Amino acid sequence: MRSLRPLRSTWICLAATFALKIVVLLQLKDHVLTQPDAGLDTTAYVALADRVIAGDAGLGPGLYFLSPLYIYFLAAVLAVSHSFTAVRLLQIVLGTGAVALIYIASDEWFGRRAAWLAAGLSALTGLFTFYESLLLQTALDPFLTAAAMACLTLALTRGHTRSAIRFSRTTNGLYSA
Amino acid sequence: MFVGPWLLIPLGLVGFVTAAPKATRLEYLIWGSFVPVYAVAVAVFYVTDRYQLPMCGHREHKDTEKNTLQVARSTRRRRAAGASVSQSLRGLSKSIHRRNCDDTEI
Repeated sequence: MRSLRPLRSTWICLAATFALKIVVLLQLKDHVLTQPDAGLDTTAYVALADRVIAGDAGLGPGLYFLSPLYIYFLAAVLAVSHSFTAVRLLQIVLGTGAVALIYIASDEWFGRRAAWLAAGLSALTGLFTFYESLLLQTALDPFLTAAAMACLTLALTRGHTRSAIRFSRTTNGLYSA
Repeated sequence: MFVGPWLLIPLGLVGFVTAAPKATRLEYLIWGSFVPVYAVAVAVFYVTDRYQLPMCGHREHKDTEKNTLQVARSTRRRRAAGASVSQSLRGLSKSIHRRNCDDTEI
């Protein structure tokens, strides 16, 4: 059974992934279509997050017409930082975490070489980084999916059944929101 | 950043089958069933129903040429099975949606 303690090379690769995502973020953050007032879903998310910050936590009356988790995620980060760049930065930190979680899950099932390949391919997937640079609910999907898969993997392969299944259930619940 | 679904999906599917561990086959199948089971769960229970339609709403694209060709190629049995599953999911999803609406009105 392999240790879950990360190697030095793993940290270096995660730092490189983060740097790569930062470059994409800097290139996209001023684009007219990625702004909070660009219209459609992004504008709706920002408007709803503003309502949450103003004290309307339930966003009633009526049903959610957008994913509720991202509304509250956006509201929480904006309440602390008042900056959309901080939101995007947190999203790419989570995206880098997703690469690490993919590495962990692949390492457990298929071995270290496959884990490096899987982590490398996910780090180089432009679609993930692109969505992590936007103000949309899809920015959280890679991280939450990878977290659910990694927790399920640890639950099934290491016998950390209770805690890992609990984490897996939590991430799945968050993902569903 | 050249990697995309065109590379990840075929590689993932081939790797999923060829590199399956023999010792923990059952656990591996449980883990591997996550994605299809999750897709069905989204279609039925997703909290905002705008995301349910693309999973089970083939009727929306019924009249397109591509869809007509696909339907023509499929066998009668597959078509019937697909339609019944789709109808069940839509019915379940609609009833949940209706119940949620009723709760809101109350």
